[in-house]
Amino acid sequence: MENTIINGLLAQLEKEQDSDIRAEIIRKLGEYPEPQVIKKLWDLRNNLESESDDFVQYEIKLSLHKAATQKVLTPIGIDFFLDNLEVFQSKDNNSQAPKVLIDADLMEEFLLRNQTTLNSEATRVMGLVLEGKINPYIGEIGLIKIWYNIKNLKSQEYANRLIIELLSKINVGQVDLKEIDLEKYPNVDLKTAIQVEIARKYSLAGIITIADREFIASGYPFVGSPALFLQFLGKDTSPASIERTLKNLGKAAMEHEKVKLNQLLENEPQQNLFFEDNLFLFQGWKIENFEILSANNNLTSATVILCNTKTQERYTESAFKKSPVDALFTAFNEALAHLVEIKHDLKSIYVANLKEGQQGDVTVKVVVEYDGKEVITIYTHENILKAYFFAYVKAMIAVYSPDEYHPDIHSTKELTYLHKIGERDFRGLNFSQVNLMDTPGNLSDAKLMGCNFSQANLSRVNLTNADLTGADLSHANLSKADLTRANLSKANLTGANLTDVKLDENNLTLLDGTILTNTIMPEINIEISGESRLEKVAQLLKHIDPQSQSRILAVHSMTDCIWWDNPLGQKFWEVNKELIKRWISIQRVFILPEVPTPKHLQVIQEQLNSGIEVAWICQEKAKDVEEGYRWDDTNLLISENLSVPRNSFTARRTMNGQTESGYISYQTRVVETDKSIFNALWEKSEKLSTQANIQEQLANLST
Amino acid sequence: MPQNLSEMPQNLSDAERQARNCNTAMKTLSSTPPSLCDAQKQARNCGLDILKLEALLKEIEPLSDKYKEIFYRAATGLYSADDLAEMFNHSPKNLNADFNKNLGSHLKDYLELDERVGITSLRRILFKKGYFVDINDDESVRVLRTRYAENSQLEQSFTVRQN
Repeated sequence: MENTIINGLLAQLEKEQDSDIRAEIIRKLGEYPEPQVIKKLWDLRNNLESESDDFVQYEIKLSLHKAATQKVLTPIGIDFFLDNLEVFQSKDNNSQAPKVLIDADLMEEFLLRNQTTLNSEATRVMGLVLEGKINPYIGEIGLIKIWYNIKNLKSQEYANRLIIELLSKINVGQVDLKEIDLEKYPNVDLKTAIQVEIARKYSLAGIITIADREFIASGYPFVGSPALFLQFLGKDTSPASIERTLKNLGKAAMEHEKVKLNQLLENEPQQNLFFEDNLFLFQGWKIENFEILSANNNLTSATVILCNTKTQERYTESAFKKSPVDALFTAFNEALAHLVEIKHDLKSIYVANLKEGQQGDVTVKVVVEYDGKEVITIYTHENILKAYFFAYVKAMIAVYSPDEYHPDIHSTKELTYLHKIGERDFRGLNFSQVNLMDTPGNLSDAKLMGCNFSQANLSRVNLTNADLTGADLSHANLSKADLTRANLSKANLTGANLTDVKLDENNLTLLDGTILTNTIMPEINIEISGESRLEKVAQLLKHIDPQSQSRILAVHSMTDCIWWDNPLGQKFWEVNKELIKRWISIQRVFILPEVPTPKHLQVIQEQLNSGIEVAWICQEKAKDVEEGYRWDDTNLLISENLSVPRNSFTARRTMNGQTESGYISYQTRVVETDKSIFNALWEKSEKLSTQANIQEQLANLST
Repeated sequence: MPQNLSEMPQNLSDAERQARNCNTAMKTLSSTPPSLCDAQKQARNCGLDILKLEALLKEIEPLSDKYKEIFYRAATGLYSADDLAEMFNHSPKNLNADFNKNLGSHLKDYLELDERVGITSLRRILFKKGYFVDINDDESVRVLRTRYAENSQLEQSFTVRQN
């Protein structure tokens, strides 16, 4: 009944010329919020200028407003439009342009936001839609999302009207979730899977979306971001060109990702970008502005404004000097003097060119002295004055607010180029990401004390005479590096690879307080004896990684039973107990004189009780193990690391009369020999059990 | 009866809610009877500026509520004279004449019109004389094109700023 009235009114309106009657029909239509009425009124509103009577124009606006907002009981919303797509979708769409799914997110960028880079790209894509060069599609869910956001931002009526407009230009792609295999794309989210299904169902040429990365795992190749699509499309916006671009988009995206990744790897560390954007100093102060004016007169002027971000307090200082750097530093120092008592002294500044030509980056190294200490900072920039200034500013932060100073991670180039111009002092800097493997690296004579080289690749680098005291070389690759005369004292070599490094013979700095946990060691043999050997062995044992499946095999000749009681022996005993506590097993063979004293037995008992596997053998028997060798005055300790075999070492002490000699050896051959000797002795010796009394056991054994 | 409207049960049917709205409107319009209230509401929905119309009717008083209601209903432009006669139990033959006598002639004088004001012509005359609420929905028309122009403009100014 109602439909008959509506159809009657619509038909009448088509041919009616009299404006009073037109007004009346339109007025009546406004009372029927039905899809075909709303569509008709929307069309009339879009062509308002073709109605000459302003009264009729008013009735059109009013009726559209009434019909598009309110059904009697339920307000008109997105469901109403989706339920009546056949009315709202343009019927005369016979566009021959390539069919493309435009992601709803992209349309929202176009519609809702202004100051984004996405906005300009989205606008260009939508331009192609409006010019009819793309036959656009949108997913149903996307359309719903747009409606909700617009409704929240503006009003329901505005959202409804916009949806009518979108539906008149854009096709809605619908897939019935019940009809598709939801598990078909296991590595992408459902939204992405639905978009791919829409593209396939409607034989679309491709998808333009902000979320292009989401599609990588879907296997659907014709996807790209608006930026990439526009870049590859270029100026040729013909259908063939659009079609071709979409076809190659997947491949282009992959290459683009690769380029971006490489850029990211090559780029300066992120914190520099943050630093330059904000120029924060310390305690809430920042450099609000700085300016340098250089002209053809004699002097350069510089101005620096410091501002407190909390109180908005400001200090502005200027200086005039012949050199722009001098002017800038002077102005900055004067401004700084308002905040702190100046106590630093600029010792030196050096600059190295990283690139040739007029655009070349430069790297600047600043050395500043304060309170008897030195701080070194490095900064690289295309703008030479900024390189100077920022290196200096960083040093000032380090001097006046050490807690707020975050050392930068420096690049390979910064290190090598400064070294090339003869700057060798890099102490305390972070080079954890340098990779010198492919460049014939030369860091000879460099002062690298306390530097961070963890994870760095220093393979084959010339480090002769370099001072690496206290440097963090953990997990660094030093294989085949030349460490002749290099100082490695107290360096951390945990997990570092020292395969085939070149060392000068007996370079004790390698064992001078260095941490060699799981370090892949070179084939070195260091002659060392006495207290110093024992200290170094203790140091190495302390740093054994309990996770590394290490075990200790030892032989102790008990010619002198009070050895374990003297301070050195006591200290070594503590190290032993420490190992047991960390679940590192120790097996020890004692070589005993023919008639052991109670003191001997006491030592053995103590070791047994604390968890060491103990065995004993008498001097005479021991002699048979290796013919002619006097085991009665030899001590041996093998640390076997089953996880990192190249970290295994053996230490030996030999007494020749009163003369003591010894070594610590990482040579595979020596470690193996010592191990086989231990095994032979262990086999021949008597094992003691913890339960029984030693004295009894020994008595039993000798009978 | 609850004092505060927000204390009313939430599950009122829409019809009840409408009735409540009308009651609220009634309170504000003091002595307006329910049917007149409905007529005003319908006129408001049809774009008429009720405050202005009330002021207009005041100028041509005395006027019975019945004629006020006829006035509002006629102003919606949705009813013919016959519809109104049936609605108000008025003789169809006399309605046009009575309308003219009670309302038309006074409006003609007051609004200084050359033409006669009848039931059919009332709405157009009220429109001409500015008794309608303005509808400005220009920003909802051709949103995409407008947005495209704006965005392109924005980008241009951005480029200039960069230079």
